[in-house]
Amino acid sequence: MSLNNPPPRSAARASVPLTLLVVAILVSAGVAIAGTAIYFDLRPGSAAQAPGLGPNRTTIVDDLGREMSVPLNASRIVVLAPSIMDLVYRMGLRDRVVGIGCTVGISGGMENEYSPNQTALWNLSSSMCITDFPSLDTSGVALLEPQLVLASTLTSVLDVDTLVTTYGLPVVMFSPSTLEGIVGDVRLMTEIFPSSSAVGTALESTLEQTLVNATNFDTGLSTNGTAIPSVLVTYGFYSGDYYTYGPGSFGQSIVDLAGGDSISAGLPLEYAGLNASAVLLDQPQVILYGTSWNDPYLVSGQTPSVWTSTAPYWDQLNGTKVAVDVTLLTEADPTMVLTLPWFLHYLHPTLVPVPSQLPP
Amino acid sequence: MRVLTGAPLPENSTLRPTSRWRTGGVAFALLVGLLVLVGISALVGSHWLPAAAVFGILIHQASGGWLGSACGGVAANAAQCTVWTEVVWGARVPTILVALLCGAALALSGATLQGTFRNPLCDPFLLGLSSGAAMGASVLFTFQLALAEQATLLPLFAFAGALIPGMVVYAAARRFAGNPEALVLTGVALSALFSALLATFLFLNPSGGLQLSFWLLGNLQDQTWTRAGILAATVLIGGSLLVLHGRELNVLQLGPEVAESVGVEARRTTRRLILLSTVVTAVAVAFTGVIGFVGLVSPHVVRLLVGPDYRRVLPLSALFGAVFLLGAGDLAQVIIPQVFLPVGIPTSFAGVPFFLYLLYRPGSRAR
Amino acid sequence: MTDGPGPGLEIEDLTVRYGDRLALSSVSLTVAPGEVVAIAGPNGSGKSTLVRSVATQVLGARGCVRIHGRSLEGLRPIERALLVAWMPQDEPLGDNVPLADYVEYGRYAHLARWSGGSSTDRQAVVNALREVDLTDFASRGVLELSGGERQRARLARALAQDAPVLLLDEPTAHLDVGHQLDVLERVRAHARRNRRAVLVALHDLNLAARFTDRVAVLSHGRLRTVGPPADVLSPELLAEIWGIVAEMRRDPSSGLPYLIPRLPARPLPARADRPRPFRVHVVAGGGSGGALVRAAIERGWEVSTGVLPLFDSDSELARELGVPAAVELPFAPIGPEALGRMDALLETADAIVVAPFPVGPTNLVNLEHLAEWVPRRPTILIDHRSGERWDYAGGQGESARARLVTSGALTAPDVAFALRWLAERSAPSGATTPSRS
Repeated sequence: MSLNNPPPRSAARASVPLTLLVVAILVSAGVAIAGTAIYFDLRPGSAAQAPGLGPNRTTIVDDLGREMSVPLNASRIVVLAPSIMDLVYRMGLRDRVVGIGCTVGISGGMENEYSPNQTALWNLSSSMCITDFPSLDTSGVALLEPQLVLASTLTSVLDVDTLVTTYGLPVVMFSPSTLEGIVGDVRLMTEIFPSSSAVGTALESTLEQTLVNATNFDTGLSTNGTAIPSVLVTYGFYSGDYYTYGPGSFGQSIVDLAGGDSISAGLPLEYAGLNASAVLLDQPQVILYGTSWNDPYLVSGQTPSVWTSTAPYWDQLNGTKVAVDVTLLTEADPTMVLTLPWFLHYLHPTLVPVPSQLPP
Repeated sequence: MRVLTGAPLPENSTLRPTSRWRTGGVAFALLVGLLVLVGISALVGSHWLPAAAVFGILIHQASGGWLGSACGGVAANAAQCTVWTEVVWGARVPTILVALLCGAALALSGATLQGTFRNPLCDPFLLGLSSGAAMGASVLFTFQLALAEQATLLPLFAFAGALIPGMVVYAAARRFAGNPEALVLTGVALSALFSALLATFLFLNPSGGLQLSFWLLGNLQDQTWTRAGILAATVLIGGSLLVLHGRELNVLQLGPEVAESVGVEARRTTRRLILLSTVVTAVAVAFTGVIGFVGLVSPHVVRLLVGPDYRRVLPLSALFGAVFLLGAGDLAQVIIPQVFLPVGIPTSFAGVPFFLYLLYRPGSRAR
Repeated sequence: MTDGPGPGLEIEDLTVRYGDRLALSSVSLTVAPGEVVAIAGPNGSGKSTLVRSVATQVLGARGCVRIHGRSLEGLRPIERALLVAWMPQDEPLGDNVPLADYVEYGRYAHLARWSGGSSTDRQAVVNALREVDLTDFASRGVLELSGGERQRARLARALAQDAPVLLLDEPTAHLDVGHQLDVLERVRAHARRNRRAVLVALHDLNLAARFTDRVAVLSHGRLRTVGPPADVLSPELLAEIWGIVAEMRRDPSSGLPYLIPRLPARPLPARADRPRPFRVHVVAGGGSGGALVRAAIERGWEVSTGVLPLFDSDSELARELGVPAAVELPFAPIGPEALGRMDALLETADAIVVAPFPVGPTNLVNLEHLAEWVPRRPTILIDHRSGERWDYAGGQGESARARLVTSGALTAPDVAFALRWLAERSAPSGATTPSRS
C-alpha cells in the first residue's frame, strides 16, 4: 500500500546531528575563551602589570589601608569626588586636574555634583566631566592617560578594581572618618606631591590650629559653666521626619566640636530620621539646616520657601534657625574644617564674633 | 504558547507550524546580526576612537600579534596606543563577550523554565535567584574586606547567594515534579525571604547599601577577560547541556504523566533542567547584576518566528538573547550622551510593550 | 518492536492504596496478545486506577504486572514505554506543534539520543496516522483540531509507540457515533494484526459487547467478573453493579447482547390514607400499551395488564418488567380462564385504562367484558389516532367501545391526558376530572 502524502519531516529531525555539531562548537568556544582569558590577563607586557618601584615613585598607604606605589608629582590627575577637588585646589594642584567625576544624568551634568560656587571657584568646565553614575566610565578615565586617580568611597569597588587591574592606574582612596582624618589627607597629599609641600604644610597647620582652637574653646565652656545649646542639625525632611546626622557622621562631629549638644546623639545610625513631634518637644535652641547649594546660605539670612512652607512644625520651632550649605556638613574636605569657626559663632553668638572672610 | 492560544484557532491564524527553511533563515539572520552588532559594539563607547584603530587593534590582538599593526598605525604615540589597546581589547571586547554570554544565558534559562513549568510568564529569576544574589552580595559587604578582595569576591558571593534558592527548589522538585505551581510558589517564597534578609543586612551596614545599589542596577561595564572566561566556560557548557533537552521539553508540555508514559523521566528531567538553569543564571547574575526581560521576552519572540518546538526554541532563544542584550547594552550607552543607563532600562522599555502586544494582539487568547 | 507468542499482559493481585482509601483490591487479569479486553464499571470503581497502574509507576501499588513474562517492577520509564503504550483520557493542552510531531512523541523510547529518527520511526508515525484516519491533518497544528480529532491523535501517538500492550482510557469519549465505531474497529484490527494485548476502559457497555473479546467488570476496586460479553453482560449484572434496570436484547445479526437501560422504579411515598400503591390495569395489545405501562411504573404505580396473547409485544414487555398479566395462547380467542384471571386483576385495581389497541375477533371480548367493570371502577379509554383503522372485528369493536362510553367510561385524546387523569385519581382528595382540551 503506497502512501499518498508522507508527513512533513519536522525541521529538527535530520538536524540532530547538526545540533551535536553546534554543541561541540559551543563547548570548544567556551574552553577557547577561557583559555584566551587566562592568556591575556597574565601575559607579560600588559598594561595591567605594575610598573614597580623606580625613580619618581613612592610607596604610600591610603585611607583604606591599601599600600601602593604612586608617581611623585603626577602632572595628570583625575579627581572623582568634590571633597577631593577641594583638597587638590587648596594644595595648588588644580592645573594638573585633567578630568573630574560628574553625575551626568538626563537633567544636567556637572551641576549635579558641584555647586555653582564650587564650579566658579575651581574653574571647572563640563568638558572635564567623566560620567560616574550609575557606574564610572573607566575607559573614559583611561583615555585621558592620567598618571594618578584620586577617588573616594562614592566610587564602586568594581570600578576602582577595573582602573587598577585593567588599566594599571594607581588609585588613591580618600576616606576620612573624622575631622582629624581630613588633616591626615592633607599630609598624604603632601607625600604624593612634594612639590607642593610648602602649601601643604601651611594648610596642615592652619587646619590643626582651627581644630585646636575649637577644642580649647570647648574646654573653656565647661570651665566657665556656660550652657551648651541643644542643636538639631538636619539636611532635609520627609513626611513628618527630619533627616539628621547621627553618631559617627561629620555633621555630628562639627556640632560636638563647635560646643553644641546634638539632639541626634543617641540615634543608632549615621543617617537617620527624627520624628518631627519629638523635635518639637525637644525645642532645640539652634537649628542648623542644610540647604542645597543653589539656595542663599550662611550670611544672607534668607530661608528657602521649601523649608518655611513645608517643613514640619517649622513655625513652632523656637530655636535660632541657621541655613548652611549642605556640602559643609557632608563633604569631608579642608573647607569643612575651615568653616568650623562659623559654627562656633552660630552656637555661641555672644561669645564668638563673626569670623572673617573664608580663605580662598 | 499554549496559554495564549487555548481553543482551536481560526484558519487564518498566524501560528502555523513552521518549516525548516524558516528556522534556518532565522538562525542565519541572527548570526549575521550578531556579527554586525559585535562590530558596532567595538566602536560604541563613551568615547569615540577611530574605526581604523579599533579594527586594527582587534585584528592585531586576536591574531596574537601576527597580523596587522598595533592600533592600525593611527595612534599618536606608543603610550596612547597602549591605552587604546587596553580600552578596546581589555575592556570593550570582554564587555561584548559578557553581554553575548549573559544574554544567551538568561534567554536560554528563561526558555527552559517556561517549558519546565509550562508557564509562559516564567523568567530566569522565577526561583528567587535575583534576591538570593543580592543577598549574597550584601553579605560580602558586611565583612569589612579590602577593596581589591571585595571586587574579586563579589561575583562569588552573588553566585553562592543565587544558588541557595535554586538548590532549595531543586530539592523540592523531588517531591513536586508534577506540580509546577508548588515549585513556583516555593521560589516566590524564597525570593521574599531573601529580600527580607537583604534588607536586614543593609540595615546593619548602610554603607554597603551604596555599593550594593551599584551592583543591583545591572550593568555590563567593568568586565574583564577573566570574568568573560569564567562566564564562557560555564554558560557554553551548561547551555549546551540545556539545549540537548529539546525533545524532552516538548514531551513535558503534555504533563508529567503522559511524558512518563512515552518514556521521559519527568521528575529527573525537571530537576536536571532546574539545576542547569539555576547555575547558568547564577553565573550570569554574579557578573552583571539583575537584568530583566531578556529571559522573559526572547523565547516568545523566537516562538513567534519559528513555532513552539523546543528543539528550535532553545538554541535560537540563546542566540536571540545574546543579540538582544548586546544591542540593549549599546543602546544604553548611546541613547543619552555621556550617560551609561543601567542596561535593565532599555531591556524593559523594549520588553514591556512587546509583552503587552503579545497579550492583546488579535488572534491570541490570554488565559 | 515485535513480540513473540508470549503471555501478553498479566496483572496479578494488584492492590492500590491512596492513603487509607483502597482504590484497587487484589485485581488479577490476563490479556493475551491479539486480545481486546474491556474494563467496565461505574465511576469510582477503579477503571482509571487500573489502567494507570499498568501505564506508569504508581505509588501505593502492590502486586505484580508482567508483560511477556517480564515484570514491570523497577523499570525506568523509557524501558517501560517500550512495553506498554497508554492513551490517557485527558491531558493538558500542549503547544501548537504539527500533528506529525505530536504523534512522533510516542516514538521517544525508540529514538536514539543522537539520531533524528530512522525510516522505521517515520513509518510508524505514518501508519499510526492512517489507523486513525488523520493522514490529511499531518501538518496541521494539534491545537487546531477539534476535540474528537485530538482524541484520535492521542490514540495515534499510543499506536506509534509500537508497544506489545496498549492501554486505552475511554478512547471514544468525545467522538461522534461514526468515529466511535470506526476507532474501536481499527483498534481491534490493530490488535489482531499486530498481536497486541489491548485493555480498554469503556463506559459504553454496548460498544464493549461489540468490539471486545472479554469484559472485566470492576466495582469498588474489586474485579467482579470477567468473561465474554455475552456471558457477562446481563440485566442482573447491571442491576447489581450499576444499580439500574435494563432490558437486554440480542442483536439479530451478530447474536451479541445489547442493553437498554431503564429508569429505576421509584416507590411512591407512603400516605396515611393510601396504605398501598395506586393500582392501574391496562388493557392493551400489539404494542399500544407499552408507553403507558412504562410511564405508570415510573410514577411508582402498580400495573397489571390483560388479557394479552403470549408473545405479543405488550405481553413480552409485561414479562420483562415483572408486570402481572392475564395471558392467553397466541391466535386463540380469549377464553373464560383468561377472563377469570383478568377479573382477579381488576378486582384489586384502582383504575382501568384502555389503550388504543387494534381490535379483532380474538380480543374483542376484552372490550365487551369491560362493560361489567366500568360502573365499578374509574375507566378511561384512549382514542385511536384519527383516521387510523383499528376495528378489524367488523364494526363490533366500535360498538363495544361506544357502549363502554355510554356506561360511564371517559375518553382521553392521548396517553398524556390519561396519565394526568390517573394522577388525579391517585390523589386522595380534591380530584377533579381534567377537562378535555
